[in-house]
Order: sequence, then C-alpha cells, then structure tokens
Amino acid sequence: MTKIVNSYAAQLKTDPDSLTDQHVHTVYDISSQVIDTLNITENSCVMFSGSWRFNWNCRYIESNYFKKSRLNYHKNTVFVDHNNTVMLDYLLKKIQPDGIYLLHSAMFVAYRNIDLVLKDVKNLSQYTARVYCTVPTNRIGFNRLTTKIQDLPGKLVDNFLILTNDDC
Amino acid sequence: MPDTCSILKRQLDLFDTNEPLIIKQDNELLEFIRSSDIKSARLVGNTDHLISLELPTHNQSDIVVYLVNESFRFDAIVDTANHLIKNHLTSQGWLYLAVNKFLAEPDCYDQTLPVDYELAVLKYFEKNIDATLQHYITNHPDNGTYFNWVHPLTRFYFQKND
Repeated sequence: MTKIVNSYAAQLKTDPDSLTDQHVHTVYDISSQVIDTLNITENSCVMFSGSWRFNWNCRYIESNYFKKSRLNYHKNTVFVDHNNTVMLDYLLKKIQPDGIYLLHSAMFVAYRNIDLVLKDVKNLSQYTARVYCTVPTNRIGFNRLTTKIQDLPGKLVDNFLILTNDDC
Repeated sequence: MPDTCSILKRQLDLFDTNEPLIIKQDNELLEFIRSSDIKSARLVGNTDHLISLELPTHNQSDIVVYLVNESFRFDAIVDTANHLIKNHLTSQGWLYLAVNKFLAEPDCYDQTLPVDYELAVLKYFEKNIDATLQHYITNHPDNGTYFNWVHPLTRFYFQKND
C-alpha cells in the first residue's frame, strides 16, 4: 500500500545522521559577498543560521531539536526551542547583543512574505540596535508579477537580499 | 540546481517509514488522469520524477503535463503553454501546469494584477493562456516542507477549447 504524503515536516527520523541532514537543509549556501557586508562583534548574536559554518567569536543560538546531530557546532552555541518565544525573549534580554544576525536561515524566513519577515525583524530590534536578515531572493515571498527586484526593501547583493531594521 | 529526482529521494529518505511513499501533488495528478479517461500524455519541463505516469506520447495527446521548477519568466511560460495547447493537445485535451512561484523572474508584467501574489498568478495565467481554466490548486501559505521543489504547488488544469 502506497502512502500519500503531504509534508515532510511530520514523521521525520530523529537519529543523529537524519538530524544532521535536516539541520543542514535549514540553511542556504551563503556567499563571501554577503559575509563581507557584516560587522560581527564578540557580543553579536547569530541565530538559527548554522553555527558550524562560521568562525566568528560571537554568540550563536540554534534550535535544540538538532542538538544531537553530528554537526560541529561552534563552542559558543546555545540551544533553545525555536518555538519558545518566552525563552528566546529571556535569552536575548540577558545577552543584550550588539547585533542580531539571521543569515540565510530557512527556519527564520520559511518562504514567508517579505512583509511578515520584516515584521519579525522589527520585533527583534527591541533587543538590539542592529538586526540583519539575509536571504536568497528565490526563498522569500513577494509579488513577482508586479515588483521589480530593485524595488524590494533592503540591499541587493548578487541574488541575495539583506534586510535590516532600518527597512521596517 | 539538483534535479527533482534527487531532491525527492533526499526528502523521502527523511521519513521514518518503510512504506512506499507518493507525494500529494503527484497522487492528485495521477488520480485526475485515471478518472478522466486520459490515454496519452506529453511531459514538458521538470518532470523527470514522474516515471509512474507511463502513458504513450502522441503528437497530439490527451494531456500535457508541464512542470516548471527552474528560473522562468511568466510571459515565456504563457508562450510555451499556448504553443503546446495549439499543437500538442487533442480537442478538449488538458494542459496541467505547475510552477514554482519562487523561481519567477520578478518584473512589472502587468500592473493591473492583484496585490496578492497567489491571486495575481491566477489572474495572469487565466487572462493569457488560450484555454479554459477548470481548476486552480495552491498551497498557500507554503513553509517549504510541501515538496514544492519537486512538484510545484501552484497548479492549474486548463482545458482546450474546441
């Protein structure tokens, strides 16, 4: 009997290898052109962006769902339930980061409309003066029939969009 | 960009089951074909994972399955769709069109379209494709877990006019 599946968000394997595969796919490849635009300090907070792929000596927040994966997370990584807004609020107030960075994070953008993403960027600006969200332009929602790419909010670098709290 | 077969395999490998799996969009298309007395099909675009269709292709077929899961322009899709309808469909044949809306090249195609993207895509194709739209299926909002990168979620059934 063939089973019909609607989404791969349910019934996923949770062994370390599968969690590794799943976590790798929650981030998009990021180019040096995007990284070069960022000014990461020791007290910056890089959230849900795959801490294993960065060398900055800063703070990282990742989802605790993936904690048992085989990825080599940066030593400054804190794991939280990414749906627990109370815990995130507590953590960010405690850290008081110089900046919050969401770098090519499928978990944060999740194909939502750009207006909704900007709303969340604005919400995060209560914890810091600078919020940066970078995303490939083909992974975020907007009306592609009536909008030219250069008319989008934020800064365009190659095929990547850099949104900040100044764009909200 | 990886082909849709390898994307599908990777995504289905994540499931904790030994049962054979079929994604919902593929199943809905197969059910439509079975229930519509369709005997021939032409596959166009990113259809490499649809091996289970297994219908003969004639110069004019009962259905054209046209999947677009790579960078595209809306006006080019319309041109191809109208060519397929005119030249490769039987009378009252079906054009099944599925597009990955995130891969469209952004532009001002038509400023009279609705602000809502889902609705704008519907209106644009309905206005420009030379056939009768019988059914429109979408999966709004999409959070990236519905196999859009295998079989696009924005789907249309057009029927050729006599």
